[in-house]
Amino acid sequence: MKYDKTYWMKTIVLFLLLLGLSIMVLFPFYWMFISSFKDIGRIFSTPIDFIPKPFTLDGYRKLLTGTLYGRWYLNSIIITVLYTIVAIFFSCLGGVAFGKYDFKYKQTLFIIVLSSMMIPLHGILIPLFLVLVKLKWIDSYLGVIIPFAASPFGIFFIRQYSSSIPDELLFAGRIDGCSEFTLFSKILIPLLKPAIGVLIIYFSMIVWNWFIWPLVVIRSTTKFPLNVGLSTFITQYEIRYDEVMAGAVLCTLPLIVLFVFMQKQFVTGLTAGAVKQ
Amino acid sequence: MQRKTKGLQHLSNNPKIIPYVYLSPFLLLFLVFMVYPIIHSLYLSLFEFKGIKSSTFVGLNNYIQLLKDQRFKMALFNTVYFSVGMIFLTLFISFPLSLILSSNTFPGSKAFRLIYFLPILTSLIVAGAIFKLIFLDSGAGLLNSILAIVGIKPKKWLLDGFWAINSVLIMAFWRRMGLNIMYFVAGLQSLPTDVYESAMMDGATSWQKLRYITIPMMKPIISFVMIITLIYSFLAFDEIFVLNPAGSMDSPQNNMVTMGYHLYESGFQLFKFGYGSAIGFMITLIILLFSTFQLKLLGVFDTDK
Repeated sequence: MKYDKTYWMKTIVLFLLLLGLSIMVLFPFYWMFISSFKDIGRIFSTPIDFIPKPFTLDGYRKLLTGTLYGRWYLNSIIITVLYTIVAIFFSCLGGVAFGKYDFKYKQTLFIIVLSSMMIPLHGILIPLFLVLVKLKWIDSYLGVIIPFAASPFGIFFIRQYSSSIPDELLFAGRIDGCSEFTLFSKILIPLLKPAIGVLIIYFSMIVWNWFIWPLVVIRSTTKFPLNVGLSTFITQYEIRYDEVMAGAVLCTLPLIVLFVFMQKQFVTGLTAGAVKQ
Repeated sequence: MQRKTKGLQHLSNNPKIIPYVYLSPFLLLFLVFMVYPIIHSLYLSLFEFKGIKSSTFVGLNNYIQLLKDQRFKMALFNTVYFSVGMIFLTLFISFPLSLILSSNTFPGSKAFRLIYFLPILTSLIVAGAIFKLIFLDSGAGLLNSILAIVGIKPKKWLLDGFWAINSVLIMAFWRRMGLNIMYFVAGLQSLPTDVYESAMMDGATSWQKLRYITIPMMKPIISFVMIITLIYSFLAFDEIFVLNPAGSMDSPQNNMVTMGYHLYESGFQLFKFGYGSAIGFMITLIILLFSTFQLKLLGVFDTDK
């Protein structure tokens, strides 16, 4: 045997430690999940119920029939899909410009893209809101989506990826008489698919969980995205925790399912996206 | 007519022109929704607003008020405390954990990494809802009920001067721990192995290897993670918004205001646009300072790239 006894002892102790930590990390998920199936009167029961008894779907039923939750869910899907499509298109255009073309002021423009990643939304929240007032985009999804549709991170990410595509492909296409936009849509986009996959995951996750910006822009309750809607439940005096937890489960579920199938894209997107978090 | 469209087509097909066309959406949105607001925020910060329309020029008064405002001082203190706390936890919990988890021979290392990563998938609203349930002030809250078993008296976690901001810290760290572990692990796994081999031949202990090889070589990544954590912490808003007891900004017990939250309440609850813009402009300056440093670390200003 290569390893001695102390090595195994150490490994076992560390393993148990990490296991304990995993339980602590997973506990809030577990608590959300079981609370969503509890009767509202039993959520704060002593002794603590670690398994819902009685098991009830009341929270879900009240949430879906008595509140606007279903509507908000749909709104979030619409916003997420629209944003992702537009943002991916602009990211590919900009990224390809930097990755595959040479032009005057390229370096300066690239620095501008990078610097724009550093501007925090909070810093410009009020003037940005006033711009939307002027454009009459308050309370509309245009106002939520358009100001951030050209993601500098997306451009940066596609630029990194596209610079590894050989130039010869573009030369060959030009000789065959392809227009520049045909090169973009028929040659570059298919080759960029893996990078686009990462961006789809990254954008969907950011927008699905987005809070402060739609909170400021959207005024009418029927147009709220999911998280803004959910937050109105939590900031009341009487919090109906069974419904809130049911809402939290349904809000988190799509991302967990996506994560199970596309771990790699999540991790790549979020770690590369560090520049803008 | 035909010649004109042909000319346009020719223009839009010129590889010298096309990159500008491709970058035009970004540039347009950048000018309207970023450059203009930044300049405008500086301008706004010199005015006092009565509603959206009417305003009077007050010079630097908003900034002077800012420095006098007790609530701003509390926000600044909380923000710095929260940032330092996040960095401390990241260095002393996430980093040591990633030392273990970066070894692919450690049993279950990949599974542990994924489990720790899961919380970042929750929105802050969802996380806030769950933690509100756990930290609930009354004796019936989960944490209080558990502590009662050990005989500790119930605490008002979210109202207490000390525990309020620490509750936010616990929740925020729960969400971000795994993400930071991912950065550290990626960094650790890319370190060259030969250095360790020769150190082993020289009979270096694990502590010496950590102290003299791993930490110096990981310095760029450690600083990088520290700066993104700092930026994230400085902007904390959603966390406060949800964990705030009953969203009561005016209540004297509300002890968890941060810069981001103070900006929101000034601008969008009290409609003090000028004062809010002054806070916003300061946040922008601070973040720009951090970010420039971060991009320098990443080497993006290197000319050969």
